[in-house]
Amino acid sequence: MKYVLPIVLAIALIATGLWGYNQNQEREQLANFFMNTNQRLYYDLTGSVQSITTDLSKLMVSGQTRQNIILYSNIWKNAYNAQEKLSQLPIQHAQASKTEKFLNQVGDYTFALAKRNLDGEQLSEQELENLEALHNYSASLCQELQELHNSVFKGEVWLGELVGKANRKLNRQAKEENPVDVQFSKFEERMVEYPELIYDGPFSEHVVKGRKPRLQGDKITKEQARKKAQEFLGEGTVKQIESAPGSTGRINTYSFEGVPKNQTEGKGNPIYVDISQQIGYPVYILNNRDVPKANISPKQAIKRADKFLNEKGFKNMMPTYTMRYDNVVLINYVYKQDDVVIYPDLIKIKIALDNGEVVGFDSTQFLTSNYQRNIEAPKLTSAEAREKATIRAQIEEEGQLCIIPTDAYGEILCYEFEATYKQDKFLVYINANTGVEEKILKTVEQENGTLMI
Amino acid sequence: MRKIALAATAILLAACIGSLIYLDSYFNAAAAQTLYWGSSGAEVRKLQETLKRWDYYKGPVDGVFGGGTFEAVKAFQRKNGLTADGVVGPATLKALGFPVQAKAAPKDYQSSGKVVSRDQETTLLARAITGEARGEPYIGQVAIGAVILNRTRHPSFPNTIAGVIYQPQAFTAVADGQINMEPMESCIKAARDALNGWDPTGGCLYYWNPATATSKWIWSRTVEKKIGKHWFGN
Repeated sequence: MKYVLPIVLAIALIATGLWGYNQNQEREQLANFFMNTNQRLYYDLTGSVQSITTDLSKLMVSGQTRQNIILYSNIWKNAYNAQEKLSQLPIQHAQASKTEKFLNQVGDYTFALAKRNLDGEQLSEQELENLEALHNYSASLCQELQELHNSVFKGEVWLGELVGKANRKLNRQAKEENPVDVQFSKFEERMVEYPELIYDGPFSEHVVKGRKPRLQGDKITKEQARKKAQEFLGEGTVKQIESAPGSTGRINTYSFEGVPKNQTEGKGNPIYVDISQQIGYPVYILNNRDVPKANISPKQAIKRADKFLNEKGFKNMMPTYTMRYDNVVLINYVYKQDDVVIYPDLIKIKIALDNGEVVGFDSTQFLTSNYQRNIEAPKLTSAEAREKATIRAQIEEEGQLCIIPTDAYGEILCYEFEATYKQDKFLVYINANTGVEEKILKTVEQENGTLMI
Repeated sequence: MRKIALAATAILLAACIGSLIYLDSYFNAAAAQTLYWGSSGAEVRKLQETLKRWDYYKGPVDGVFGGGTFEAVKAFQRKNGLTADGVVGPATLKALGFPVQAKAAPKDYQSSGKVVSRDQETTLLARAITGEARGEPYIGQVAIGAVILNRTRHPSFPNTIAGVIYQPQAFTAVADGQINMEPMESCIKAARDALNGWDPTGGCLYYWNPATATSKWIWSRTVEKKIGKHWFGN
């Protein structure tokens, strides 16, 4: 009998412990959910402000109503989106009211300018100045958001500052997360089309669907593909090639995994190679080996890549943009037909700067879009096209004929002009037949290379 | 015990206040002066006048921030839902209706080339890959990154990387907080390769681990490729 009380107490203690543990687990889940939601809102907010900044600067070099309207409406849309995200973040109104006001006004202002532009009115000096000021403001907001972001991760502002304080709020929030709301916000999310960041040279996100002119031909056997993979990697580089499950999808391929000569199997980094089932083109190579030091220059790397492409049968390729990460250089090659640069036909190649080895290769875009095009002589000369371009920016004399892809998988023949507005650089594309300003890209020069936005 | 608890509370409070001030300073970009116990001058005089007018402060308007002013500020802060710390920072200044001087953007056009970057996206993607596939071969890590990017381009998914990654119920590593780990180096490389266009999956939108997948629906997907422990499909 004398044990009853201790037993009851022990059971009570265990029960309390379990209860506490459960409570803690639940709290953690809710905290995670809360944190994730905020992170996402924050990233989207930053992304929108970046887009606004870029589009405002593009306005400086845009010379035609059509392009202006596209930019104005993009800014309007992103300003709305950013404001929407900001207002959902658990930041006290007082903290963010200025930013919200700014975002709302950017949206309003560009909307008003768009309407006026449609009526044929040009920007006045004052309006141009306003746009410049808005651009500067949004650039600094961008920077502040990025800096704050670091503290969001490191100092866990959301958790310390918000969750701790907001436990009660959190429960309420969970109740309010009804499925309809969630669905609706997702719906709204998709309605917003972000200007896509083009990471590695103009138009690289373009993939032609269904049309694979380079891949019309006989299907090769797995054994033939294996030999090709071996050959592509070069004799002696690879000891053994194992078959991995094949890939269907964008391009049908045979996949191989190679182990470098000086490595034991199962250790270190294998090399991955995919060979197309039709004809047997190399589709990609991935080799994640460490590159401890740089012995050759990026210029020499381009020479190595040139030679490599030539040897493997990819002729008439022209290097465009390069990016350098650690001791690896990524080079973008585009196809050149006569004197026309064909941007959709893209090959990416990575060269290790220690010994010049190819450590990455991707020809997916080239293989799905390249063919001998029938390019007719343009109706406009370079000089005529130049006149249709920007009025405010400095623009280069001679345009480069090129083919750029449209969003609907079409292709347009354009003149490409480099334009400079104060310290920012752009590429302006003028339709070589109609003179329409088709696209403006901003070139962002960073430590490790050039980014096209 | 009591001492420890007190100390802990104090530290927590300090951290809370610290982060609040941190947030404040970013959002206001304010150059306004912070007033606290010991401050003096015209600003303090103005503060005391205002607090007196609103009946928070009973003492003399002498321009010296002392105990009386401190208590008055705390009372004001409590009443206005601010952190009652007795320190007049940007938030309190704003609540008092004092002009908070905003950093004016420079008038001439400034280059924004340095401001826009993809670092944030690379890190976020690398975190997601670390959470989802840190034990996988390199190609499997690139593949996870590629699936996330394929989703951003697909009409049925959100359009941003953050949108896809933080979509509720989409990734287990996000739901359980693994995404907040420091990204592994190989995953940073994988994120870069994926952003640069490498896609070992050939355009897949889904992946799952057949050993642990709990959703029946996922088995109705067509398998396009198997990499490491994961199956990829559409």
